[in-house]
Amino acid sequence: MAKLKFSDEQPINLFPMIDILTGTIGCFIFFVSAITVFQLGAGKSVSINVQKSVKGRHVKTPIMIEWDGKNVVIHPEKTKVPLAMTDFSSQELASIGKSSDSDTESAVLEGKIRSRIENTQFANLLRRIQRNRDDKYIVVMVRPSGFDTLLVLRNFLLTKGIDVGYEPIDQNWKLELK
Amino acid sequence: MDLLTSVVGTMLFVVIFAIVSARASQVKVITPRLQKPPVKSERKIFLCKDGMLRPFDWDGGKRKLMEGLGKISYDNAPSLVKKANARDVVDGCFSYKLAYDDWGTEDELYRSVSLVAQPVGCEMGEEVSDLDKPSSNFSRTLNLLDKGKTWVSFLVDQKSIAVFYAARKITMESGFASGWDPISIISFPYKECIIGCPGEENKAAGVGSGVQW
Repeated sequence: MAKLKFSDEQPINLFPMIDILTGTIGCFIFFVSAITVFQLGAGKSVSINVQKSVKGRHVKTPIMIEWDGKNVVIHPEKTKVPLAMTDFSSQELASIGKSSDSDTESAVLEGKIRSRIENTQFANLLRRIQRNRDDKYIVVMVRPSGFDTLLVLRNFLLTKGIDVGYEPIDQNWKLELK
Repeated sequence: MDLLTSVVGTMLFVVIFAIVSARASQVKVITPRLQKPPVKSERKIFLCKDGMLRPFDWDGGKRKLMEGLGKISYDNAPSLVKKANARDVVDGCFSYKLAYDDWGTEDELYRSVSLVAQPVGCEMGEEVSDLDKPSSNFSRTLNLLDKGKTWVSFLVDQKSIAVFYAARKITMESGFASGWDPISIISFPYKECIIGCPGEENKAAGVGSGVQW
């Protein structure tokens, strides 16, 4: 009488191989995505909550500029105006904070800055704001690289009779005006 | 296999979420305006340096040293300075002392008195994560102050923007007027003339230009 023979051999099964393949592909996707994130950078886009300041009954509109120690960037057009201050002496920088109009160092600094921004968009902006100083003022978004010279820029703007505010921002933030 | 597929799918989801989040995150920044401090208010300075927040009681140190000294003249300056320094004024992070210097010409000699702040071993520095705690030294310090008679000034260095933002948020929520300046304008030991200064008005500790919020 014939008997069916039960084979002791296992049939060929490719499912474990698919498991390994799927896991490997998933890991590759994870690594590539992680590398992509780092390459693109995680720079935050910063939305600026524009709040008008109040003085009596007047509400002033802030005009935003960025300062990184070398360039003024005017928003929202993002016009970049170079303004080097690296050659200012320590004595000139130490004159920061003096309020006297007759101070020699402050006057020299002011003259230097004025000559460097002459005929630039920044100078045009300052003239526009001076004409409308009851309605507009400047907010300087200052990056860490601009900390050393912020007060020089601030005092220069104050000599123009323009109200000023300043806010520190991270070096890598991308500003979007809203 | 189901388990592996689920794990891979979850990893993909996390990565996609991270990419989307990183590109679209937004931070609201308020727009300040420099103004004079509230009338008859005292300034309280805090240092934001190397990612830590510390009190820097420049005005308080000056007041404690000068209290009861009387009028300082050329002749009594050395003895009064010595008397003031014997008070050993420390605010936890800085010690404050007076110093005097001669200036002028051969015909006319003057004597100025300066305040000198020197860092001492400080365990009161707080990071961003410390500021949220109820036991935060910063919050406790603010609770002791009268918001109608005090305004807060921050000195911020390049590494401490995050801790400044956190401290300022607490300050504003507590109802205090506040402002900030870059810390690059001072270095320690910090010395500033307060009496009899050569040709200058007494000025604040290079900081505290005014309130911005």
